[in-house]
Amino acid sequence: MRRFGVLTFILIFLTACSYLKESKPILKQSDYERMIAGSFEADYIGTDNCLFKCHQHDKINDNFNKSVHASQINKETMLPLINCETCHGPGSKAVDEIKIVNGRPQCNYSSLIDLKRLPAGAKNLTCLKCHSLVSTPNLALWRGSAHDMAGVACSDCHRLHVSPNQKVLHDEQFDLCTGCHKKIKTEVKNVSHHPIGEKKLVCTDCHNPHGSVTDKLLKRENVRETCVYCHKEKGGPFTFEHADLMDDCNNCHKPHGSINDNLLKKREPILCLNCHSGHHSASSTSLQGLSNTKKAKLYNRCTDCHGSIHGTDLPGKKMLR
Amino acid sequence: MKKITVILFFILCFAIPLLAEEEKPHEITVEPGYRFYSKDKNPALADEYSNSTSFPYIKFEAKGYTEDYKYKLLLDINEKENYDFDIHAYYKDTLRFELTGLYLDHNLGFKDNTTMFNLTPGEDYFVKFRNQRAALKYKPFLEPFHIRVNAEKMEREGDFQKRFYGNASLNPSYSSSDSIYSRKAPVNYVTNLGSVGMDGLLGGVSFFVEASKITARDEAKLSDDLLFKLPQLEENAFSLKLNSNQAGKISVALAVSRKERDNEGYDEAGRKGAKSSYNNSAFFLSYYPDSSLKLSFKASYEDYDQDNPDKWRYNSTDYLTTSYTSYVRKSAQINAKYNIATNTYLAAELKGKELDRDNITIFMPEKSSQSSAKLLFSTVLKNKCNVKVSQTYTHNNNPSYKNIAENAHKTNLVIDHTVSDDMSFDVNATYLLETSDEAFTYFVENKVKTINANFYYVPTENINVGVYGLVEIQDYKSDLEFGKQSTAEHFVIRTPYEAKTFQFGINANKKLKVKQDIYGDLFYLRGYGTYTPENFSGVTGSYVYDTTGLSKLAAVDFYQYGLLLGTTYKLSVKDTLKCELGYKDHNEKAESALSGSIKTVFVAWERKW
Repeated sequence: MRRFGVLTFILIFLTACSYLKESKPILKQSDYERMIAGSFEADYIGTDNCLFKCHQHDKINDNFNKSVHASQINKETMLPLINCETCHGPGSKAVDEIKIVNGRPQCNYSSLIDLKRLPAGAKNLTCLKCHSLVSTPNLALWRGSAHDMAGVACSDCHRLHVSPNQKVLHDEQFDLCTGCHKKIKTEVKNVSHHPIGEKKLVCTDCHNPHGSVTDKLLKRENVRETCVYCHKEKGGPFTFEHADLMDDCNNCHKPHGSINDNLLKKREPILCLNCHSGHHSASSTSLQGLSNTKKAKLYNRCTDCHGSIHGTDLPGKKMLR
Repeated sequence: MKKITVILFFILCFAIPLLAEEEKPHEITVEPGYRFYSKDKNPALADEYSNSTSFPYIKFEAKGYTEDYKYKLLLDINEKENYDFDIHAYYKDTLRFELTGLYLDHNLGFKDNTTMFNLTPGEDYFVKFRNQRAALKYKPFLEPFHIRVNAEKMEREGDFQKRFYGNASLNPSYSSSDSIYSRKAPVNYVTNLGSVGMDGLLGGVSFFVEASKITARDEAKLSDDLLFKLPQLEENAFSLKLNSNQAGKISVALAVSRKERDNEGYDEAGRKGAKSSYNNSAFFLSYYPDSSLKLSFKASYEDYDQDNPDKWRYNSTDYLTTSYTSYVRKSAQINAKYNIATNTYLAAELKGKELDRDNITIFMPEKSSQSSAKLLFSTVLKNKCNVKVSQTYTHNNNPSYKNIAENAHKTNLVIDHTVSDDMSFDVNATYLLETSDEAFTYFVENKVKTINANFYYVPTENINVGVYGLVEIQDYKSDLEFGKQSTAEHFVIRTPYEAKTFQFGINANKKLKVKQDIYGDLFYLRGYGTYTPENFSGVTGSYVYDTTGLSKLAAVDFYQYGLLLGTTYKLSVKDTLKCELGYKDHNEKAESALSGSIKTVFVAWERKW
């Protein structure tokens, strides 16, 4: 019965995929490349000629002129000029076929590159055709990265026409990232959290959305290196250290937020007892103020005694300092 | 650094506007105000990153743009010890300079605990965190080549509660018997970072090289009290990245880094502290044969080595140190994505990791490995409903630690549906099942169910409403072990742990009139966790064991709620009045000393030029 169910599911899935493939086909790579080259029947006329007939895009043009893109490239470099037609294609036909719609002039947009309807990969080629010619080391590991594979387009995050800022602003970043990563938005509201909601830390302090060496797009080589960039005093190397557990802070911590203090996965002493055996003693079970009885009972959380749990340069058995 | 920051801020405040000569190139916003605080009991967990003190508020922002120069200045004093500044200056495509500063007070909130001797009772504990960064990018030639210089300083200064085990041998003022103490401990940990790098394009290859040096020092004057000494560290690092064109069918990249970290501490015999070196090399290959298929491969090699002195002299006694484990981690990952149709794709991921340890002196295995496979299907139905389903299987062979499961299955479903222009919702549900059969681990079983949902609604043109919720339920079973294995004292009890997190929030804003907006935000958070090992108190063999009190120590039981109401009123095109009322309450059922609430009233006037 179970096999029949699985077979039925696979059959329905394949039929649905086949239907989608026919109704919304993926074009050939060369077709997309032709699309981002723009209309061959139109000519390049420059930004001023594009704008003067209708002035519908004056605000966008104003933002663009104030942005780094507007003065990005020195003309003597012989690199392509950055203006409206660099991304949207030659504009002569669009302007020539201008019409009045609802009392307002409107270009013939169909002769421009239809960026909104292009798949992410083709949209990104529009950016990469320049950013492959100028040195952009931030993009070195973009290809094959999680965002590239998931079909994220540059323009999903870099909203070039909204304001003069071409980079994502510090204050806007959390809302932008959690627009897709919605679960993180609730995790950082937990009682133990990094100051992300307070707009002191942002996602790119730990993650590189453009690609990285690690899983989860971490900014540095591994989890430990990412955490100890700020928490140096926990990173060592120490003369007495918590074994190579220090390799991955996520063994004990939940970086986005936790119901336990210090971003711990579980509250002490359970967290510690998941790897270590419990205390025992050959004598009585009391602790405070009495000698030689400390091990029988777990009166306190482990790090009350093992205070230097990440490591220390002071001798004392089992991180007791 | 502080003086340089202030001087630079004023130079840029006044010099750059003078340089920019075009008509109306500047926008200036000034927003003075005041934030009133009223606190009840201990507000540490209700308002963790604040010192909850009434204080003036001021925000100053200036922006200027001309064809050649662009600048932005921002100073934001939120409250006492909580402010930011941000300076950006660009000149053509030749020079970019950024200077940012971030200051906050971290309310640590520890209080007296009756089970320990508090040597400094009644203290509040705060640590101020300060971070300043300066970054310069300079393009000396017309060719694509940049020089980058970065400097950064991080400081943690304040007092925290140090808890420790001690006796009279450590300090004569301590009780002669073994016990747990707590006391105020000042900290002033300063990290300085400097780096120089360059990037450029050589033919078809982009390169980026960077060398950096980091020092970390505890500058609190505690040289006579070694118990509170934090490590003095020095790190030298080098990194290199090479990559080919990102737009072609085939793209290759290489990333190499090396770090050497020295503990600069010395023992009483003059022996230097531990030293570590870390190397990482990663290779990336991606092949996109056509628009429907993407293939990528990543391989990395990590190598960590640590050297320790053989002995460490403290208090005129030589202590043996542990010899250190070195490890090599090799990993490989293959990703494939097949676009079935526009907005519909199937993605697969295969990952393998192998860890080889050397010089093992503790219970860890010499070799550990992990392999995982993930399959994801994503589609958009009727251009309105995005559905993603994924299944991941992970297998750990010889897990490194006793809390790691042997097998893990994770199923995830995401539905993001736009009902209409006025309404949308999304649901993200995850089920994680982890199991272990290996005798090495304490781990038995872990089940985590998570549902996160969001709903957005625009009932009328001027009202926006958002509702969110999260429910996470964890059922965890592990073994609790006492005594050494294969001895008469050894026994194991199976212990369940259950944790629940619940979050709910609603926010809304409404445009009352053309000039006035009101907004509100309400949230509720509940955290609950119980650990219920079998109660055992008695003697096995010649040893005493006792699990009494474990449940109480490990219990989590709190709720937190808050309300924020605010309004903005436009007096004119240039002037806006702002007012905000906030209330946040934290209730800790197990430890009432951590309960407390905070009320805030915020008023400000914004003026734009």
